[in-house]
Amino acid sequence: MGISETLAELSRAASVHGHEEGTARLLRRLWGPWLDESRVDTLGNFVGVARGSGREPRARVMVAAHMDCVGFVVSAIEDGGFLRLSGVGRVDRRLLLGQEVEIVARRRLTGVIGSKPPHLTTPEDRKNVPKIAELHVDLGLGESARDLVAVGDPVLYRGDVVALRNGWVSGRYLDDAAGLAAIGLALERLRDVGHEADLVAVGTVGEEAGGCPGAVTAAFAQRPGVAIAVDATFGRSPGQDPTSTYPLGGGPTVGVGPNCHPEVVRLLREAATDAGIAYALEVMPGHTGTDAWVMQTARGGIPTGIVSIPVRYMHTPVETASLDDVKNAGHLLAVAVSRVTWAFVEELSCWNRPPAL
Amino acid sequence: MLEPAPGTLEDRVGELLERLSNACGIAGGEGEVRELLREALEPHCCEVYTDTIGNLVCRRGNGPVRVMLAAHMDEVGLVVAGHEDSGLLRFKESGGLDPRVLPGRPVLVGLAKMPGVIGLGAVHLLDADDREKVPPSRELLIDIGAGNKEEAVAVAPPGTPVFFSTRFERLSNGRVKGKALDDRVGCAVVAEVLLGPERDGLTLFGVFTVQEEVGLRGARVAAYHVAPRLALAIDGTSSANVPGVDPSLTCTDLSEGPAISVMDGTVVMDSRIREQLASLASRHDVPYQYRRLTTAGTDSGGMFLQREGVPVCSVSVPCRYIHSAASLADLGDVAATIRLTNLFLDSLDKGEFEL
Amino acid sequence: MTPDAGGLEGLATLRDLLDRLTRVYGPPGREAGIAREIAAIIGPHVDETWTDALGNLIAVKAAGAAAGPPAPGSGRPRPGDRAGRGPLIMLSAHMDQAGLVVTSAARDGFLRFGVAGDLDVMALPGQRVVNALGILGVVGVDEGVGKQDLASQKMYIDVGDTEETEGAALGDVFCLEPRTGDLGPGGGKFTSPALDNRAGCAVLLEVAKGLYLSKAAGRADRGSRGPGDALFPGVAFVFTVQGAIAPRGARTAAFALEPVLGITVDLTPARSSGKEGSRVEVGKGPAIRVKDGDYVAPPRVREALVETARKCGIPYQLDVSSADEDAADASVVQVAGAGVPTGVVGLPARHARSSSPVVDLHDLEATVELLSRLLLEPPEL
Repeated sequence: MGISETLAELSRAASVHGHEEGTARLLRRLWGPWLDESRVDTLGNFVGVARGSGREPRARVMVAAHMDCVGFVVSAIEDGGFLRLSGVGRVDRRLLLGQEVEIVARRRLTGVIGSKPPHLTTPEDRKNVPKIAELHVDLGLGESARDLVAVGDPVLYRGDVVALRNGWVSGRYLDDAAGLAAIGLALERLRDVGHEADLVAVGTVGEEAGGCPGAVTAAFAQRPGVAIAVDATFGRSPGQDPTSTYPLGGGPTVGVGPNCHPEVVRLLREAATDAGIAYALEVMPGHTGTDAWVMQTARGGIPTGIVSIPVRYMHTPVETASLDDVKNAGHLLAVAVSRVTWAFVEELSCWNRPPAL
Repeated sequence: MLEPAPGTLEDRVGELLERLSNACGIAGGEGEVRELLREALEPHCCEVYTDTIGNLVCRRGNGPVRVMLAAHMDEVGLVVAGHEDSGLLRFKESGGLDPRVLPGRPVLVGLAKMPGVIGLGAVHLLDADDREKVPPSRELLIDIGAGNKEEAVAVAPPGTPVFFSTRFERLSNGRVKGKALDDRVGCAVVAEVLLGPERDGLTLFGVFTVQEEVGLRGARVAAYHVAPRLALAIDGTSSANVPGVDPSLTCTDLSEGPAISVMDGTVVMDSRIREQLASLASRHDVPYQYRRLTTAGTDSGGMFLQREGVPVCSVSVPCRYIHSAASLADLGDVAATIRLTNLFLDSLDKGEFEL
Repeated sequence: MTPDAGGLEGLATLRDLLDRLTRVYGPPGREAGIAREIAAIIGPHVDETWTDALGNLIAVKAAGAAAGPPAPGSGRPRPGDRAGRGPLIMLSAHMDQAGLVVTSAARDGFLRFGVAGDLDVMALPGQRVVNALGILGVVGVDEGVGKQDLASQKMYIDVGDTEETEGAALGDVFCLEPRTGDLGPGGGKFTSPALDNRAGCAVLLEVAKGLYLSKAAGRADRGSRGPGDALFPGVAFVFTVQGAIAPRGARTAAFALEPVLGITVDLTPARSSGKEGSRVEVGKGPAIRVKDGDYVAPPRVREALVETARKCGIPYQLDVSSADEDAADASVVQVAGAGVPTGVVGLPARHARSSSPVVDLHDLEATVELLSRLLLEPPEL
């Protein structure tokens, strides 16, 4: 299956925290051919293992991307069958009016986030970004909405992944379909390249919802020697802060900062250089907003790294990314994972070497 | 190697604090501070090691009660995050900084401590309104004299740490000035305690933690693998007994002894430990005060929810102007903090206090 | 909810228990007294109780044990030692209440304080407060402070014009004076400053007492099977520390106990007057949480609670909140160790963050029944 098709499938399967089982099922199919075993754990993480060829004791690398997305749940059903929403994750409220949404109810329903017509709004109204609680979703069903929809049902942006020019794609929830797709590519490549370490490929729950419950418990349970989070980062567009955005097509980013172990950074940078993969360094001085933040402090500490794929218009229904960046992120992960040995992991507690920079 | 030198405790700890304050290390890049401490403490401890996140763990003794003292090595500072065509550097903040302390500030760039300055457009050229505005840090630039982007990237690539260049100095009345006193004062206290007598009843873990300023992260990890029965965080805390501040809002008073915390924004301190500290201080004439602020956080908040729970208390050295380029502390407070910590460990050792 | 004769008796028991629990002093970090009180009540109904390193009170009833006195000689287990205990379900409620922590004492007897816990500063001026020794104080506001600028730094506790403020030292914690009361015709609604979260503690205690366990068992379509027939799994009743401030103590208890399922019981702000705010209403049954600011209930757990309520005819409502301050212990229980699926059952309270929250005893009773039934037929996880 082509990478663009994989992204489209992951985009279709995505849902808010608590409802990641569709993506987990899809991962079983997408990643399954390259895994020796897989399961869905207590909180709903998809955990797959591709055993390494090394002798015991074998290193264990965890590579994680999140399965959940930003969105909403139904918070109430009003008279007339209108739905009220509550946001899950950091929703961009500036784009909600008139947005088409999908309600994952007994069956998938389509709705529109209602807005007042222009002749009923004042110029002042039009300057206000509405609160989520003020909005309603119109299903066109009237009272019969109550038979189909329940409070707590997920509400998602609607829309397919479309191909733009130059191998760019755009659609909902590339954050973190791009990361999951990159891990799939890495798994596929690693079967040919071979790897000494056991690879634990994880689709995590709840990264967008807050607290990353999936990543912290998976890291605790899997006890990896190294953990790499694969996520979306800010794609550059005009007017955006150049120190926090990265050009599409410029390759994946490698995080650098307290959340990234210097030797894991070195591993990733050397892998990229040796494989001829372009990358950007992403300077992250504090909270990285990725699963790596909680994985690093799980148990007695887990050395972490971050590989990200630039995505423009993040947390909108038109997230845009370059297929080449996704491919290169997968390639980079594969090369890096193939180089992880027991000795490498053992050395990660020794902080007396000169720093990587 | 640092031998316990003759002279008063204040003199001895002043020397160590000078070296610690002049050393540089922001969150995730604490290496210079770590190596300084390792060198000083390795000869005196049974075991010295680092963990995966970069904490330096120093163990003394092998007694039945495991106690952890935490002091963080990282300081607030900046990180190079971009380069202008002109060769000027863009940066991001590491840890919580008041943006007003940055403009017009000399800095040190990278571990090679290359001098640089944070400039500002001439005030003459500004409208009256703009003179009243604090320039946000994303608009400020570091000038290292580089002539173009290529040169700047070569000597200060993205991720290069940037430090305040303030040198440590002794002022009068035992007071000292320097950068990063939050929390090099705590590092000095814990180091001095580790250099002191070994106690048969205790396994003492002096842990110099990383990443406190970005979320109490090193201490969290260390408390998990050290698994202590109880722990103290030794930190530098704000002290605002200065003009214009209501006496009830000073948080702590400089030169009035260590500040024992009751609670902060991350944890309510264990009242048994807190009362023991206060009672020891009263009985042995060690000056002390309570920290009069219930917000912010120290490594205590990182430690107490690890495993099945770790009873904690924070003891802080009052420091004026923390999280800025230059802070001010009193060596008398540092010495009193060392005495109080030793008294507390003695009482645990002798079984006068247990949890 | 249609209370039968037994229900009315149950309501009276609940009311007296609430009255008793809400009169005990116990702000964050000072939970020893309330822990003792709860331990005394729950002791006869469980197999073992202990307090952990942080002060969480843990009471465990082994699988299948009948309600009644504990087996003699069951020594205190090492916390976390699960040998022979089998899978546990953890029911938790924080036992601390909001408090005012004294941060400085002026010579005039005015004590400055910080607020520990979810107490609206608007509710404080003029309140009567007491410390652990029963010293009375009154909350005052600095002259000239307008309503907009109201903040705890601009308030103080007036403990009278004492030179030394003896018995009221720095670090001391004052709580709202425990004045309880019944509202509504013939009672049924109850108010006390400490309802957050002694109401949750009362619910857990009633579940533990097994009163409702046997009643529920009798009513279920299971013939004569009672709780003595080893129908329910092991249950850990956990009364946690510092939960009035933020989800905290429950995490270490969950780490030690490694439960297979967690349920947190806490107050949920309910609708009073005005259009804004919660859709949860007092008197309409327990509020099963769907989500709050940074927590999403695992749908399996939420659906199990809903299913149990439906099957047994217990009234319930769904609670969807966006507020971070509604966070309950569940958000830290779920991330303990390798993960614990954890739900929240909210007890609807009007004026929840004020000095006088109001709950409906019927809601508490329904919650007791809901949890008892859930324990009888726990969900497959």
